[in-house]
Amino acid sequence: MSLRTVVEDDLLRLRRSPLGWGVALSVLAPTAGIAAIVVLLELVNVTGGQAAPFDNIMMTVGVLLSFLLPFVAMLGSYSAIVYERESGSVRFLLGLPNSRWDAYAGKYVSRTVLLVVSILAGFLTLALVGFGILTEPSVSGLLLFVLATVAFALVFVGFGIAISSVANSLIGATAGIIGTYVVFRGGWMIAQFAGMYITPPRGEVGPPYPDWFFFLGRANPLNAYLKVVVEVFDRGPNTLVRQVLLTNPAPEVNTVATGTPYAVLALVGWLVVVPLVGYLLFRRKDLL
Amino acid sequence: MSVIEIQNLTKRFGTVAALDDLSFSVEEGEVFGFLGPNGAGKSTTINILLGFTRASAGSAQVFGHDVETESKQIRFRTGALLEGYGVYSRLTAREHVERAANAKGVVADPDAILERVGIPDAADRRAGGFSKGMRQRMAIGMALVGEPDLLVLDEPSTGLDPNGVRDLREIIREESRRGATVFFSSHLIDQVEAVCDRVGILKDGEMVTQGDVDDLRARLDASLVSVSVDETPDSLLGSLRSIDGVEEVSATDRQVVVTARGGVAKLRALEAIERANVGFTDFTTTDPSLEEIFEEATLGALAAADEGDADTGGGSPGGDDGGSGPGDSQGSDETDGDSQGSDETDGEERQADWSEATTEGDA
Repeated sequence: MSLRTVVEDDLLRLRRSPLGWGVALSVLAPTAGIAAIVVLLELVNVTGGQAAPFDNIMMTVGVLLSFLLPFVAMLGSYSAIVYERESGSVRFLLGLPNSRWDAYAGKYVSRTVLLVVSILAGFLTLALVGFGILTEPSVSGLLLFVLATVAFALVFVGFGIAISSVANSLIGATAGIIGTYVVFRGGWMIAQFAGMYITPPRGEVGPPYPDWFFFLGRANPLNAYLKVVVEVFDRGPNTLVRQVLLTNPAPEVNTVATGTPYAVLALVGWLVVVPLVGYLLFRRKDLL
Repeated sequence: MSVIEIQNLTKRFGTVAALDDLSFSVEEGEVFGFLGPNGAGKSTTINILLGFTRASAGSAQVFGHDVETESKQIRFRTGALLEGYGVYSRLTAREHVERAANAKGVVADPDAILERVGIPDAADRRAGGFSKGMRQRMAIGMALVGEPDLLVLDEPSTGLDPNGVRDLREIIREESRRGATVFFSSHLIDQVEAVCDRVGILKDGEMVTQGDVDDLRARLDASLVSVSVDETPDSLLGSLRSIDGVEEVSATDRQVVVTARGGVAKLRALEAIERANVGFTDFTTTDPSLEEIFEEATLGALAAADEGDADTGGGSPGGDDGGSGPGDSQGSDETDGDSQGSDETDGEERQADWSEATTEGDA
């Protein structure tokens, strides 16, 4: 009952706050927004009657989401708990018979609902356009895409809630989500190449890359998500995404790290471990 | 039966001890005043009781439940109004009360509760637009939801106008009559004195004294004797100062005021004045208020006495700067406009008067 109360209250406040609507619009922009652009292009006949392939549009959406969704998901969740501490309302939240689990899980669920509803609304629009206008639409591909996107979003909701639960101030939590994004977006790659530089043969950073390079690289949730999206919509060997966004393994590289199951495992791992660690730290934390 | 049982509770923030081996209990049905200067550790104690903060050592139970492992069970039976709370600015007063009822799993009538705390017309207004006093009344209403067995009130009069303070006292008395135990934490002594059966005075994380107010008065045993005379020669003042138990002597043209500890000292002072043949006409004695007890407890005499002998009282004043110790961590970081500041006293200056329990006598 208490967990449900926390969820309902948080959703009510999100519905009345600019943050909730901002997050929803930020998710709708690269999904429903792309769908709107496709419709617009079709209406002005830019494509000359030749509709774009479904997979290409989905791939574009996937790449956009891989950049935007982590930050939007963390933005929608990073203040969930620490703001209550800063504003003092945590004295109501946990002065009432809500356990820390109720508070933590309730916030996680409510922020998840916000993200998932926004994602589903965006993808529903995409589906209407995809199946109405685009060529070679795929139901299974779209469902897999939605599933991977929801999981990807929840990984970063987990980061946001975990950071919110251990940070002692909003400024600290803000720094935490920015830092997390920077680490996954750039720092991770730097770590990979730094590792190449300091491991034998020392000083060489080019291909062929060792197996550990891919184990580390594809453990990054951004890369794992892209790998899944590529697997669903982009089967060509040397497309832009494979060339630029994912390290292209040499033909002789044969490791499970470059496979889709490893990417799925990485996403699931982050999905479970991050909120769990956050809760374990929050459970015994002094909140006042 | 003890509702609150605290044993050897210690809380350290780094190297600073906010609570130092604190032990006391609060019995079922009593209104317990928890007094102490700012930074004494009152809020830290409450934060531990309600599970916001973990103790470094010692234990605490409420209703027999351990505060760390069974906090939720405690809060089901507790209504809390905590210093430094912040309202949910986008929720209405009615939604705040409903939220409390939902969390406790009880059916409550928000309108009746808001009527009781004096803001019936604000039920459907968002709390973000409330004045400080309205927020405080709403928070008191939330604490009353579900007829709790224990009310924990931390500086509950903050932001309230005199009418609000009077209403609060009446609510506390009503809750007490209903059978609720009230834990009333404040540094505003007159408010504690007005409603509490028993008080404990905390200083630097330690309970320096506790008991009912009359007991503490008796233990302090210091009172003022004001004597009207025709003249106040220096020789008289000197002889008064030499009497055992006389702590301070002051004089105006036609009045001598003696601060004396103990009935014997007062009697000897009166006898000395009569013997001095200075036109002795009248006298009054004034017993100490709780404020004096508080000052003595936190500044010297009573604390020193309790450190030496918890049962006998007495001792000498002075020796302690009475400054607030480190400890209460809440409030300092709260910058949100919706929060209730922890240091808000609204200019309610406390008067150190000796107006209570005055007895008069003729020579």
